[in-house]
Amino acid sequence: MKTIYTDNNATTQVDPAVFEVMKPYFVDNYFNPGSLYKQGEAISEVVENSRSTIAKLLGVDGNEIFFTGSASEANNMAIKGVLESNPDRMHLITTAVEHPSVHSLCKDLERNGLEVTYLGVDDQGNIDIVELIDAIRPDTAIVSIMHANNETGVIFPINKLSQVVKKTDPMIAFHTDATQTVGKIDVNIARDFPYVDMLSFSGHKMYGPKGVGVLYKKPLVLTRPLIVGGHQEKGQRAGTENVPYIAAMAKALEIACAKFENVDPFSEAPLETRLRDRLERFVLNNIKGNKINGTRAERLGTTTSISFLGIEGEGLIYGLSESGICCSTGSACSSGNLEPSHVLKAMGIPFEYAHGTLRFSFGRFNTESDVEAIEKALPPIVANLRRLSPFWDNEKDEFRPDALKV
Amino acid sequence: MGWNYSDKLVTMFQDALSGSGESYHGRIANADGIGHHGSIACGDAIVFSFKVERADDPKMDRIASARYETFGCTSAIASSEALCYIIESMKPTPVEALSITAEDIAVFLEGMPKQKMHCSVMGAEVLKEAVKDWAIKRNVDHSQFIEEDKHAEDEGPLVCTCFNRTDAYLRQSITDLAITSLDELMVRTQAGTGCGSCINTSGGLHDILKEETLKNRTKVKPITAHDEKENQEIEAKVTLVIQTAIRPHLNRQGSDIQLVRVKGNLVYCELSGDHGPELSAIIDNLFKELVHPELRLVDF
Repeated sequence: MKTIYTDNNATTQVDPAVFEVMKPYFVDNYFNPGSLYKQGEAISEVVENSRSTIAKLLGVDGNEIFFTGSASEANNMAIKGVLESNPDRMHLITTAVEHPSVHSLCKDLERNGLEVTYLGVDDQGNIDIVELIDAIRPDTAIVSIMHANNETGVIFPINKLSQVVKKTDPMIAFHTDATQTVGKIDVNIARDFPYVDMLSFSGHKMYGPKGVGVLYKKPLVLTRPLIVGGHQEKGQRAGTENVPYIAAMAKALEIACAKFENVDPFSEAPLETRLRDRLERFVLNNIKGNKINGTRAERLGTTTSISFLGIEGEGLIYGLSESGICCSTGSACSSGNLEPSHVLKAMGIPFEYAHGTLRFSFGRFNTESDVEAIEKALPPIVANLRRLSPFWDNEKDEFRPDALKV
Repeated sequence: MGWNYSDKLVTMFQDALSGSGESYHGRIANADGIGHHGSIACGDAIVFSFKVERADDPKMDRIASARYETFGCTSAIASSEALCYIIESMKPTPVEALSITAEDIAVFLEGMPKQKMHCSVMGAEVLKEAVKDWAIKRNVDHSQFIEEDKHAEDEGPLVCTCFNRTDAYLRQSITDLAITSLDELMVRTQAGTGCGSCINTSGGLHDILKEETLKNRTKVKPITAHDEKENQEIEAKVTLVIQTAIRPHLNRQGSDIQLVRVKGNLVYCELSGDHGPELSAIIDNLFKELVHPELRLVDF
């Protein structure tokens, strides 16, 4: 059975051209970049060239790029690093819809005595700037707000938000998790985000390998390292450099950024967006009882989050999986007290919709025939799960809220 | 796929979904026993109904058919199918049916992931509800064979998935039993004594115990308190300056300014259209000269 992969916000296929770049650094050119002999020096150059390539593509300086093992690590490094360097500042601002690598970290920091303000979102997933302004305190150490949401694709106005923060108090660090945007949309830090101090992203969301991430950090932002040991990454992140993955990351970003150049403003939308829009139109026209989340907000063209009334997401995933379709759900049932994702909850999506949420995220390798396959498989699965559900009136073909009255 | 489901479980789910195999889906009209468990807010819910062949002595009634309606994940639907299958092949009296346990359902499905055991528990629970309904309808005293157990602490996030211990339950236990150590917490609640992954995780047993024991520590008091009245006065003056002295000039250049918030001495304004840093400096000066010398513009 053919795999129809529409879960590109989870991870992406490694681009074959990227894979080629990695290959020489395992068996042949395996040296440690920290070694003094010629081979070490040569391999160190590979790392530094990759660093400059990435820096140039993002419009920043090479000494502002730090390699990590993942975007999660970069997020932890940024937030924990700033907090440890500013022990007199005990307050942190973030949103209620961050990725777990920021959200769970904040919950953890709260347990250790820090105060955290979680900015709410409206039903479209947008933040209120006034809420941010009001949250800033003299003891705020860092503000961490994601660029685009992984579940809904909703994009936050990072430039405006970072200006509010930095112009209020330049000592507050502004961090953004740009994992879902770097490589997908044109992100040039110098041009788009001059007030952002730190920005994280990973390799495997842009057709690079898993296990490598980047933290962009301005030189004046002081952070204590998360991993202490050798002098690698200017003492900010110990551990021998992951040369093949670092080289691959630079190549992946290079390929991704090439398509942003010379874009004709009158040309049609990118393929991913056309596929996404086609699927959304199909669902709206052919399946009753659904909500597409965040449509009235600015959002990524690759991502759609669709909630189906009266059914549960995991059954949808397993049903689609029978047709080779890979996507994800906003609620992964793993406990008797299952709650839908914190993102959908923060947006106030009603329970009867939130539990039945699917996320499709399109990528470079998707085709029209992928959407055709989803269009064929999805309606009967939704209909059948509703047939089994007490919350669906099969005769009237509508939601039955009083299903448990027996 | 994320869960290590058995082939049997997946097959039962897929058959129920496609309606191709033998399915027990449905709701019996005028059922002799009907019950429900769960809710849409929890993420899974089941309605279970059965019909009996009546005997002169109600206690000798035998369940002839069983049906379910389920909202829930793959294993919830498969567990519902399994429950009905087991009952229809046993043809038990309702009281005998109570001996079917969550474990029986899991064994029938050739095993279930630990985190999904609640799905089979749900089957056993709903059976209890339906038998109770039958007992009431048939005038049988159910207090002899159904014990009532209700935990108010059953709601909220699950911490120990092996033994189904919720955050709320653990916190209540720490208070009620005056638990002070991790060992004690584990012995008294069984939490963390299965796979052990909930002990040191973020939000796990360790964290909960620490939080509960530190609950009475003094809170850091908020540092800023704004004088709302003073704010309002400044806001009114700033609005006037924007309307009379700033906006007309900006509009002529195709840009605009919006006052968003006044907080202390900071005036937050959203500027639209093309402009350089010198514009911000000019507006900042106007606020200082015309409203209050300590004001500062924060534009974005």
